[in-house]
Amino acid sequence: MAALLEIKDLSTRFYTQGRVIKAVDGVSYSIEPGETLAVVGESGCGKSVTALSVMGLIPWPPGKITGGQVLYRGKDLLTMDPESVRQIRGKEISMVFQEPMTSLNPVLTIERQLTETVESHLDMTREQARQRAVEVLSQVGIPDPERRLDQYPHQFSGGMRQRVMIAMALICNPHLILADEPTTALDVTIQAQILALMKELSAEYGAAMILITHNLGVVARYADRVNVMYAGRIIERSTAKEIYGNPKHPYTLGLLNSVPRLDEIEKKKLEPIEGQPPDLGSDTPGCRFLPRCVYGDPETCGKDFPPQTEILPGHWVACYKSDQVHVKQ
Amino acid sequence: MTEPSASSPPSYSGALLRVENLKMYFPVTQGIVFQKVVGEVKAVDNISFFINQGETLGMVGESGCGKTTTGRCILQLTRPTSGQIIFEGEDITRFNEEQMRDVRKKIQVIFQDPYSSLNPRMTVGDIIGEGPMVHGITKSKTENLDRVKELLSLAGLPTNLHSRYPHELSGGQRQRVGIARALSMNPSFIVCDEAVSALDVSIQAQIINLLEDLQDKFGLTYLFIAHDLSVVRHLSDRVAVMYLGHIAELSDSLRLYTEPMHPYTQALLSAVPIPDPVVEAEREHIILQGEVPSPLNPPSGCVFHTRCPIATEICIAEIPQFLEQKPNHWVACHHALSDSNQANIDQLKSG
Repeated sequence: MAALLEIKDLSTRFYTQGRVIKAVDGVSYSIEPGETLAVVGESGCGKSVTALSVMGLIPWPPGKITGGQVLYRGKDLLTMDPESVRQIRGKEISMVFQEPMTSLNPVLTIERQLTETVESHLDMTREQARQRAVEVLSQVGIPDPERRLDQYPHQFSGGMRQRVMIAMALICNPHLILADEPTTALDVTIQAQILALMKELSAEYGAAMILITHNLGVVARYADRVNVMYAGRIIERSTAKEIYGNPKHPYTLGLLNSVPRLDEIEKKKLEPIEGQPPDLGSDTPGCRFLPRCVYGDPETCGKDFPPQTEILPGHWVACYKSDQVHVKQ
Repeated sequence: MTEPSASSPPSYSGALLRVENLKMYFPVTQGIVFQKVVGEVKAVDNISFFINQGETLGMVGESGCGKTTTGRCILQLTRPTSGQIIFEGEDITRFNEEQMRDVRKKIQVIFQDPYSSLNPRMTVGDIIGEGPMVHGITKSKTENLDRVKELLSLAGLPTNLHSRYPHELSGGQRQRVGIARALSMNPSFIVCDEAVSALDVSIQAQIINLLEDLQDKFGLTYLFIAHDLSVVRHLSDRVAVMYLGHIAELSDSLRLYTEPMHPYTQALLSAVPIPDPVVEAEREHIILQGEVPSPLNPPSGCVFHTRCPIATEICIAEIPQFLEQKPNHWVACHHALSDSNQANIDQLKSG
């Protein structure tokens, strides 16, 4: 199957206070129609910046996409003229942001915020757009949508606002949804509601979803494939089953050993990854994970960044020592 | 609506801390000059529990369930509306400020946000050393600095960090400073209010291990408040599940997972995703309908009845008592022992 979106060697940098921060440093991945791809990593690993780069939402200054391609159905979004990008963004590719409290405009009614995209992209009249808005609001599980349309964001709870955000993302029947930490600000019972809803609706609409999250549990429950990011690069990618069952990068293994599991019967001591993520402004050669890695040695890993190699069909790892990394039984 | 009887609060006299029938109602006022009270937010509504010396009691629940307010009442940062907080045999709700000063040395707190809980204009050394200095534990500046360095290394930080300011530190380092500050008074009891929630997983694991090591070393007692059930279960000996100002269920940490008796606990457990796609694919997922009602106008009877899958008429009419349904397993549910609930428990177990 042809990839719906293909990111090739994308680099995004931020120029601040005389320093260059390499937030995204040569990231490549692709997503196929209808699948759910998770991008997982800790704060500052570049997972959100990658999504914002795809959407063309990197503010200049200080940020700039310095290289690479973002191919949507074979056409490069980065070199396309702004008007054509506008035709795709919001209509065919839409985004759900993390903060339901700050991503809605507090002085516009829910109707206005929902119908703006439809009116500009689908050429509907005000009345048709309102009908469409009612339809989508009831699909995302908001009771009494007719009345709710005339209300303002402050009259909605956090979970309800996130439903509105999802409705906004779905209203133009997108082919691809970028969900950036869609449930991080929500309570777990609401998180379960929202994620189940997103999965169900993306299946119904046949839309692919890129789920950006730091929560390894959420990834395990909802994703088909997983990309693990560290310090601006993808360090491992494979199917969810493979990543959790047979992690081959020391960082992936370290992450899995760091999370307490709800189903642990006997208490095990957590095995944290020592140290901290590197400063993205410093230019050190070699593997970025080396200072925290228990497998690495400066001889092998300190010179060049390890290339991505396919160690098993569909399982790519950027590590010189991946043959030594095994899950403890 | 009937008042729940105060029968058999889960406590016994040997505990380090006992909380009995604690209520914390916040008044809701209207008007600017002539304020009148138009309602109450029942943040904590008649809860009782105890914590033994050296153990960790986890307190888990969603936003607005009253877990943080409970912690603040124990610290006497808010004076409770009614109820008793008995620390080392004495009811500290009756203490005046002078008497509290001594208690505050023994009860410390670690806050959630490592960014806002440290004074940006104080050096790390001042932040950690302020307590011992004020209470006269360290007599001179050099003695104070030695103490600060000792505390820094206990918290796993380099000792030369004392002259730095909080903005120079990472999130994990700041949380370690918060821990060093809590330890500075040699406390016996620490309230950890979402102490690891703001941290990334790899750093979170470091801090969890540090808290466990310190507990072993100093015989500390923790009240560990958090919304992340996996973390709470991992750290705690016993866990209390709160919902809308009430404790729904309290039992030891393993039993809470294997035999959750309250329908809310069951839903909460099933809502938390486990980081293993194979396990997740086979698990039963209970998706609760609706949202947590407003504590300003809580539902009658059992506060959970609006979202409960097994609620019946009695749940709307009567507040369930918090009873010891099995040894050391306290549940506030009319149907805790019913067949349908038992069937749910069995299903969760097999899944």
